[in-house]
Amino acid sequence: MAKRAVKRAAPSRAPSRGCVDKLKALAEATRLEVLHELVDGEKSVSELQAALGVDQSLLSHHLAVLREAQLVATTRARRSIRYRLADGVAAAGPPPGINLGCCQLSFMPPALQKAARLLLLALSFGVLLPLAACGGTAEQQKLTLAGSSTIAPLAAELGKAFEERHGGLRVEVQAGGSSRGVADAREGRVDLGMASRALKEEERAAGLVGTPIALDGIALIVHADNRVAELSEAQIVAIYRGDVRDWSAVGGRAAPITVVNKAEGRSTLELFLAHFALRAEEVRADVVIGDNLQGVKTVAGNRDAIGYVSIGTAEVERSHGSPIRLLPLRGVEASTASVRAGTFPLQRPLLLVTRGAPSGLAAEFLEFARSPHGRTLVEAQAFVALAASP
Amino acid sequence: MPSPRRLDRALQLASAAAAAAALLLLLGLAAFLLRESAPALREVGLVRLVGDRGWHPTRGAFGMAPLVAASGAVALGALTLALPLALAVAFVRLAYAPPRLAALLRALLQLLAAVPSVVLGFFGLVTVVPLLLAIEPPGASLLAGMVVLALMVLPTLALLIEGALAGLPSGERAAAAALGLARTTVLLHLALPRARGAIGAALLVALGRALGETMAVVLVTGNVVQWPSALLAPVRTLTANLALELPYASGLHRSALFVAGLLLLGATAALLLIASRCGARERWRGAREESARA
Repeated sequence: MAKRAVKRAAPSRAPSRGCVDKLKALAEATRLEVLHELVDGEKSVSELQAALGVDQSLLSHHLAVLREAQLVATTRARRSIRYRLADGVAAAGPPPGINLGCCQLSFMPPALQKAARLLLLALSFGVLLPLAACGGTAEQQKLTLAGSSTIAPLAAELGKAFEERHGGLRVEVQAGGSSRGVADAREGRVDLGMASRALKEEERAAGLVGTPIALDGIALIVHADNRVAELSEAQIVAIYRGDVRDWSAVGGRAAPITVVNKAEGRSTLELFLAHFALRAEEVRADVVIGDNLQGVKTVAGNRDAIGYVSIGTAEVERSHGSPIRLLPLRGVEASTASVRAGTFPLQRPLLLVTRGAPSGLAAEFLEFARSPHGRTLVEAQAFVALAASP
Repeated sequence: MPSPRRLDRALQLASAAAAAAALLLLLGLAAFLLRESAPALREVGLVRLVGDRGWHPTRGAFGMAPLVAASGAVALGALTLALPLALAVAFVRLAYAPPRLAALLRALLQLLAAVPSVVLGFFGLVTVVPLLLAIEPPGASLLAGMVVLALMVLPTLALLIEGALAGLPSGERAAAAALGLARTTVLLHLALPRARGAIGAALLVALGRALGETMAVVLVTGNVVQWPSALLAPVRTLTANLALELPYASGLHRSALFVAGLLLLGATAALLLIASRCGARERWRGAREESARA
């Protein structure tokens, strides 16, 4: 049977003989339980017997021991004998307990007691499991990537699929901006740096090699019913800064323009702003959207809206019947084909940067990113996959 | 066969463990939010988080006040739209509808409650927004958010209010019947005044739900960070802001978003606390008294 009591107060300096005798009498499971029962109030023998589920003769024996140790006292009510805690033994709760003169004993509610034990168990698991995991990972291989937050989600997806092919390999991806990606690759802190821009001349001169894994292009979209066939870059800037607020000023019908912008932090916004040399707070937006699909739906539902989304998403949605039109830019048609051909003005490469030609695991990872499986992951992130390698 | 005592203990133990786990999870969540928001609270500070002009976290402007105001406006507006509807539904079901219609209404309400919020959001985007667009562009606006959220809280509100109204003691009901009072009189002058506290609690629960709703709001409110000044102007709520920016935020920006999360947790907790004080507790006490009598 479980232990049901804890010692609470420290014994006084000179424990009396009686105190020790009482503790001796307590050191038995049934007797301890009897006391626990009596803490709640006086009980008859048959009540005690029912509560504890022990044989009556055995109970009588234990009750005798407790009486002798002066822990319990009896009262005779008519024909039955009722037991109660002896005078001076009952201790004031909460929690309910008994006073032995030299120390006090208090009873924990069983649920609380077990919950505490469970908690202890859970805590020790929490400590032990990571230790066990550490033991197992001593020989694990690791591939680390850091840099552009545009590429990070794609790299994480590629990493997951890559891990599945290589048992025991772990791919770590950290976002922190393209410049950090280039710097980390240069100093050898990571296996692959992520940069969502072309490498600069001096970076290439320092021996860095950028391998594209995908392309990112964005298209300006308007409703299919919009009469405007093309906008110059100056007109687009004027619309987004709020200098031009009506379509009639740029050759459309007389109606206010609804400017659809992207939420802060999105790579599409970053690329758009950088291309048109706009600052985030200059843009006067009517609607701010999150992902590309929401942008397409917003423009498709508003004949006077203009927005910009990833070219890949726009093409797919248009082919699914969304009434949108992709505006050409500088006379170049907005399509994944022109992004892939490198002729579209509003695009950038997504590079993985290595010091010197990629080798080993890094080279394998790059190869995987360009494989058919890798290309589907690229397209799932609304980027443009590179032309299939021959 | 285990003794009843053992069985009792096992159940007691299991429920205590589950309760402890739930409590630990909540505390863990709060601790996590606090830890993540600490950098912003320390380096940006509450004053700037409230007072900065504009929300351009990547350029060092952290003014969150318009977001808070927008959250409040959308949620309160939604309740304003939903309350009369919910009262009407409850009245119809309690007093006027034949049993079969009442059952049908209940089924419809439960169905509406089960519609995923993103579906309601898309419904708003393709129906409510274009309707409002015809009045004044861009359509995606405070009002669109209010309408969609009103639809979302309507079932909860209607069912809670109905429960409160139905709680009229049978003695009073019998007395009203003996006096020959009309059902409308009973509802308006007996049940409604008695249920005022519980209706208040229901409103607070619905307010908490409306404040926390994210997907439906992102899709229809336009998400421009500005003070809610007109019904047809776009606004951005705290939750929409989290959904839009959290996946792409880093550094102080990310941390500032966690401050918003902390704020939402605090607001919801406060609402539930008040709700449980003004309504639920009375109901509990009533139930206990009844069982004590029995």
